Amino acid sequence: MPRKPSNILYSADEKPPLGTLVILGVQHATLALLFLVYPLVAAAEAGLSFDDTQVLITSCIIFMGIATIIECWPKFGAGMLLVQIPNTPHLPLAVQSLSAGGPALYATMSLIAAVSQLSLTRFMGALRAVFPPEICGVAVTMLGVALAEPSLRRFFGLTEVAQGALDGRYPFVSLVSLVIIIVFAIFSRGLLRLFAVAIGAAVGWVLAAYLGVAPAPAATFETLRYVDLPRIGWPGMTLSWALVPAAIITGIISAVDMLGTVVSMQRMDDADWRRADMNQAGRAIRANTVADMGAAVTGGFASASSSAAIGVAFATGATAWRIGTIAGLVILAAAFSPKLIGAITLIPAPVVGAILVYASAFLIVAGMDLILSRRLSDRRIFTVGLAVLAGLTVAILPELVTSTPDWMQPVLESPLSVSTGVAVGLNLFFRIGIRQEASRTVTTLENPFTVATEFLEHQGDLWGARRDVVAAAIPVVAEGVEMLLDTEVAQGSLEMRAHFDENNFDVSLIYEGEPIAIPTQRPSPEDLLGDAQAVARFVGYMLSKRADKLILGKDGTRQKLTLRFEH
Amino acid sequence: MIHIDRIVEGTIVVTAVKGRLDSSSSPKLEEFLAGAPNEGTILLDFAELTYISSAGLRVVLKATKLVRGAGGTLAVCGLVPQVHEVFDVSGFSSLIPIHTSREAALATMT
Repeated sequence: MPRKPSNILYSADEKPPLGTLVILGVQHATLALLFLVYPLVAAAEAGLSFDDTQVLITSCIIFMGIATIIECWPKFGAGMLLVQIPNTPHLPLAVQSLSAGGPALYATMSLIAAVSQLSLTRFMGALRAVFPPEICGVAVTMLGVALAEPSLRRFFGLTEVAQGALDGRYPFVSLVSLVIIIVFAIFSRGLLRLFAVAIGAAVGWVLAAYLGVAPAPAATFETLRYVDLPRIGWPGMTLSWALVPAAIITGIISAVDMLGTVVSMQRMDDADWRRADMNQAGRAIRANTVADMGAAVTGGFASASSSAAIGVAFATGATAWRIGTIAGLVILAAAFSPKLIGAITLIPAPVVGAILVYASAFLIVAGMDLILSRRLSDRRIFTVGLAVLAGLTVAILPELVTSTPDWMQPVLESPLSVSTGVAVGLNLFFRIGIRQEASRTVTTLENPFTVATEFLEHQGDLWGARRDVVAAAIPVVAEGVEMLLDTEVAQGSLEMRAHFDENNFDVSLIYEGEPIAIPTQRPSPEDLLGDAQAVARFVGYMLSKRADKLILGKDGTRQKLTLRFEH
Repeated sequence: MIHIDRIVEGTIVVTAVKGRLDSSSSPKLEEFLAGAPNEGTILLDFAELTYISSAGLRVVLKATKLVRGAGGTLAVCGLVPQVHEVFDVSGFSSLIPIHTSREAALATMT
């Protein structure tokens, strides 16, 4: 059971009171439904008919709800708070396939993307080495960077085409909403904090209406029914081989996106977080792909877990999976209420901007925190630095992306996929020439602490071991070396051999001489004033308590004392 | 590697140790504390001690026995977490009074 961080009120497995649960669920569902703007954009770009657009949106909502419920459910999903939104990496694929072959082609491409995503979950164990914390950190940081553009555009009331002077009412509404969210998230306790986002959004909405920047309902809004049966249907299937690579890549990008959100949530929910739980990520991705397949065969737009929801979870201090279940049910219910969907689309853009800016800021720092959780060697510094720069390149130079071949553009349009791809590639490349085991000889002429510090820090940097683990190992190893050499249990010198894998940081002290005895009961401190064997027993006991595990064995004819530090 | 200061605070002699106390540096502290029995109440201020090995513990134990043998008292203060862990695991925490800071120790011991 992970240890709950002090800033979390309701962690993954906790059960908030029903009223709180409902309000938090509605808060998440409302934010999720705002992102329906993405499939609407795809439909508009592809020139989809009104009926097909309705099916695209309705099916998307239904499977967003279903996926949210399954992903949050511990039995079948990840057992964590993951709320689905329309999947932005699907936007280029949807526009291209809907334009070229209508809903039938998008359904096929969407299915291929889902299968591509699903196939990655079969290799989650192997992917753990590909996604060490600093690579996950790059992905999480770039999730935040990817949110920056749409959030800041809404924050400042900017459109795609420049429209003269900045209208100060937009940033004013955004700033007020953002300040309220931050003030309630940081300074308030109890119930008020849980509703930080809702309060900020409500005040922002009222202010936007007062200042005249809240969108007026369209004339057709009044004609929308409060309750109606959703319209979805089999769109048929056609294939375009030209779009298959884009579909496969979209699936992979979606998996990386999901991994980023899952790791962010794991990190937020566990004060002692050490590494990504890839099995949990795999369960979340599988649930997502099942829902995406459902959406595909009923003419809907694909969905994925929301990074914005992570910002809301952080602001409210509530990561309980049950909140996601309620959010999923509310999303599902929304598919039966055209009026509700219509109302949600009326939330002023600067209010949405404020919420997204909050989420973006959180994700950028959460990613940095992950990146710095391990010692950064020169290799890792360049892996992270170049990867982030690669993502920023496509974010700030969109003309570079449009100048590439069409088949590359879906990948290059996403700063997240570019950064993560470069980080994974560089991480694998820089592993060349690094052995996972290293050793050196220590003699009585050397200072054990200095030797242990220089050797273990150097190896820790090369291997990307966690700083706290290496720092904890150094004094224990130094003590072991000093004892073995000073008591002459080891004759004149010994071999210090370090080994690292993702789970353990092992340091073995290998020497010619007699084995030492490790007492199970603490010897008397008076033993320190006794003979060499008494001192060795005393120190052996201390080593056994200070390392996570002490293993005595042999290496050929030599004695081997291994100090294990869990990583 | 190690720096030792001796400060007299009323009736208490404070020995402040900075750096690392291991087999190469502990003889210096041992020599420094050789006259401890004549000084009555001794406070070892380890606030700036970053590492202590069994050789360092041995010196502390010897000094404690010498001071107590002469009817005096010896205490330590200001242990950083990694040194505190060594005192706890070795059983020294129940053998020697430990104070959180020099000020707290002086307030208790005077």
